Amino acid sequence: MKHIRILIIIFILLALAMMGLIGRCFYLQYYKCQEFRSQSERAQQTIITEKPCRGLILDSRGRVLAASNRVETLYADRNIITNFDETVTAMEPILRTSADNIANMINESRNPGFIKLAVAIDAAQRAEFLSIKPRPKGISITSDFARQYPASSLAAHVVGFTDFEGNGGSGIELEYNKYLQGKPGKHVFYLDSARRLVRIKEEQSTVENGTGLILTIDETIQEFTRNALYKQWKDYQAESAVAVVMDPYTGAVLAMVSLPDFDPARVGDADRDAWRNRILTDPYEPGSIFKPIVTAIAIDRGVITGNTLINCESGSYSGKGFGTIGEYNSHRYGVLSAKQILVVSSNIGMAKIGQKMGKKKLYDGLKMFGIGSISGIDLPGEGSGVLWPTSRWTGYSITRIPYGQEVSVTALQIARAYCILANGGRPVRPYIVKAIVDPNGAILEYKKPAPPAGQIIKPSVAKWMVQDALVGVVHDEHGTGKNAKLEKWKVFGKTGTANVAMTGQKGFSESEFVASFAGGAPAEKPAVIVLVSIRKPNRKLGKGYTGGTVAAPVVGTILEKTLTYMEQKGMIAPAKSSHDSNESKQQRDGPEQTSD
Amino acid sequence: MQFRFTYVVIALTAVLVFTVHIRTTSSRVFYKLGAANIMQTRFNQTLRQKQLDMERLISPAAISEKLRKNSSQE
Repeated sequence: MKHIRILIIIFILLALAMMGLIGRCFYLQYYKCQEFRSQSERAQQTIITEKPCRGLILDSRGRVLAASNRVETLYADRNIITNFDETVTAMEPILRTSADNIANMINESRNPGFIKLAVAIDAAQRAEFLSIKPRPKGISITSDFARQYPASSLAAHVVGFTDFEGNGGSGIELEYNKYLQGKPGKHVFYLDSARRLVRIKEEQSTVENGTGLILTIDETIQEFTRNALYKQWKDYQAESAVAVVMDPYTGAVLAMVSLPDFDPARVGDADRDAWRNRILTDPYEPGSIFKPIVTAIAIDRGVITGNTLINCESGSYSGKGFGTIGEYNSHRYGVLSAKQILVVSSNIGMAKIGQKMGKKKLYDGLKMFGIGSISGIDLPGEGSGVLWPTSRWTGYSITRIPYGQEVSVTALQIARAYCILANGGRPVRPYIVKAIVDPNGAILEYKKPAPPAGQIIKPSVAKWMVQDALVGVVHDEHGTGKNAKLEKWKVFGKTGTANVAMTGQKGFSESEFVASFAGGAPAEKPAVIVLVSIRKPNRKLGKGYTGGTVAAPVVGTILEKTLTYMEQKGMIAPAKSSHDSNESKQQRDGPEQTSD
Repeated sequence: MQFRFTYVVIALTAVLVFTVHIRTTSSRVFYKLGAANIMQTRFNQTLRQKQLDMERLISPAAISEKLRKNSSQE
């Protein structure tokens, strides 16, 4: 009887245990089913991400400025290498260097897990490595995309560079990163117990390579521009130099050079200061290259005419509230017409034009020309410069702004303003990407922006400014821009020599200047606008420091080469004959004369 | 009866052998296709690299540099 009771108790305990197990099974199978299933699936599967190939960047004629290609890198992992001597000896013929060098590379690397022994190995090196039996432990091949820049530093600031993760870091690479980067593909694979791939389970997303970009930059014009600017930058031991070449009718940037520059493929080696595209980021007081803009506004608003006579006070003009104004190089000018003021670059003449205009007309006109506002170019980091509202103007402002002081502009703003003058007074919006193309080269989208509506100045005023006044600056006997003169084409433009504002204190340096020249050619129908500004040319060299001496010859060289190239490519009509026969006719077209 | 049995056994064996052969061939062809694809990708990469090298050689900057060197040698 006692045994039966024990058996019953055991039975009840077993039944309870069984019920507990059943309950646990139900809990696991019903409530925790999804969690364990997904855990199991995760253990059996892996997601492999396929990197897309970054898009091409081409110049306007289809030449490659940036491209990505998969390269194989032979690397070592110091922690895995077992037989060091044998490994470095085995690698000797593949790396074509001595075992000592290889040993040094491996021992001295700061990243022991990934020591690059050879980047972009060729097929022969690869085959040679794979033929080594047994394969040395700790040496492997990895494959990844590498960004290449065949033009090297030629268009560095325009194209930009990519960071170590392959994302855009500056220039077009940054601005158009979302187009260039593409989309990665994701594939889910089943794995075996050793985590080797067995078969594909599903394709979550298909890899989409980045789209390409066609720029407005022409590599040949870019080379002409960089070559000429680089020579002058070096010859004059200048701090920095910039040059922009633009199509005045469309706003397309044909060349853009900022010195110092860098090689985008080795951006880490360059000084960070060289990364900056000074054309967009560095505002400066423009000096006399600003005078044609103010004069054009004054004529357009009916304040003066092209031949209005203004007394230039024999080189010294002072008055209550605006101090004393002198001429560059202590010149003494008497009565000059508006055209002559531009030709000889009179500060006093411009100050008087400013006074005649008054604050509102001057401010509104400059705003219309885009001074103090970003141009909207499709490049990152553009600054707006500074044009203070009239409420902040002092008594000096109305007399200093007309000759390019108390206002700061970017090189691009000045180039755009000259485009407006050359384009019959119509506004343009600078742009640098012409089209977006798919990986096969088919055009997906044209990016040329619609020109802004409106008319900044009357066509007759723009025509007079370009074909008469600014031609005079280059071609007149007393013109300051004679060094930009060409035999074959009639060049127009304006020189500028601006004192550099002192840092940390008021006033301007008397020994540091920005030498500039802004102009274009041919004057009859301008094909290109060129702006060159060279900051702080070394005066101690005794070679000069003015816009006419330092910047004008660069513009002349760029114009001559660019126009010859464009003529040969059929982009412009061939030059007919010497321009001199037209000069007298254009001078007759000037507006009627009034006196100061 | 014995003949039928023999026939069925032979037929089943033949089907089995043929199936194994087809699977092996499929695997081999799949491997070959994969290898050919990899080769093609490598050739494409090599070609692309050569194109980029050529772009580097014929870029206006490189030509200017060569002309400068030639003129300085003369």
